[in-house]
Amino acid sequence: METTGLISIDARVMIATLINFLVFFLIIKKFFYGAIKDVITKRQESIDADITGAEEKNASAGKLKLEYEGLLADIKAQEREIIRDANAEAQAQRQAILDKAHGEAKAILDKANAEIEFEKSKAMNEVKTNIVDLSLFAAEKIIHKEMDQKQHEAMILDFIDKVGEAK
Amino acid sequence: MSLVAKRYAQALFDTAVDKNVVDEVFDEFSTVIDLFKSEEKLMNLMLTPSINTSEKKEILNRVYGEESINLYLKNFLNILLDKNRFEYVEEINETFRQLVFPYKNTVEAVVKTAVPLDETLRAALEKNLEKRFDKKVLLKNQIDESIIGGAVVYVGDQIIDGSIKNQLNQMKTQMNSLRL
Repeated sequence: METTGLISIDARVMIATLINFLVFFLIIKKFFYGAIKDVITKRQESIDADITGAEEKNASAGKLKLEYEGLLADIKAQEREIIRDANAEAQAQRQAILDKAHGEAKAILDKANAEIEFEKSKAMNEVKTNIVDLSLFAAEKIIHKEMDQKQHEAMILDFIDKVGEAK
Repeated sequence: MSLVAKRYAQALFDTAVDKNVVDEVFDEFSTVIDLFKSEEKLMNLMLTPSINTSEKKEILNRVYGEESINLYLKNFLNILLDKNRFEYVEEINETFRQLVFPYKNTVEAVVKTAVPLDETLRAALEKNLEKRFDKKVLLKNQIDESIIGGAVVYVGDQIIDGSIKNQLNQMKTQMNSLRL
């Protein structure tokens, strides 16, 4: 036997090892390759499925997101519309209340003014009527006192003429 | 107007028309009635039941005196005594007048004046009223100081008002209708 170093190359060992390895390989290949391949394939499929599912989920999530964003926009728009309507209605009510109040105030004022005017004119007319009555009463008394026989006769003559004229 | 008065008045009127004595009967009947109106005692006498009819007729005759009264009127008044209807005599006269007026195309009129109307003025007014109404007018004067001056004539349902009172009233209406 040849002395060798710690590391030496022995062709037989090498060949034996190689054959060993080949045998081992073949055995493995013969008995375990399919299983291993199956496992790997399954794993691969599972991962692929997971990826696809994730992608699908992602896509549907994106869709949902869009949907919800749309809904949210709608809701916001509705909200704005409701607020706008409410505002408009409140404004209209406010205006209506103000108008009504103004109208009522004006009516009260007008009525009061009319009443004042009426009372004023009534009082004025009463005064006027009294003045007229008194004046005519005085006139009557004066005429009655002042008229003499001649004037009476003159008036009656005038009347007689008028009776004769008008037919 | 009572039916009795109407019936008697109509009878007297018919007779007067028939005998053509309407004017005479009208005037004399009015005179007799005026007398009875002014002499209340005489009227009471005629209505006293204790005096018999012939005595009443005698009294009436004395009332007429010397002046001869129309025979038909005299008979008529006697009939009233006979029939105990003398109490209606004034009413009969009034109804009779209302029958005579249209027959004679006459109306009664009253003129109110503040002072008494002298005969000249009364006649002048009567003449002008006759011209105006185209009828004979029997105008009586009534004194009413409340008209102050001028005159008011009442003819049937018409009034011609020429009084100072009326003028003052018109003035008053005008002044009162002025709005201040």
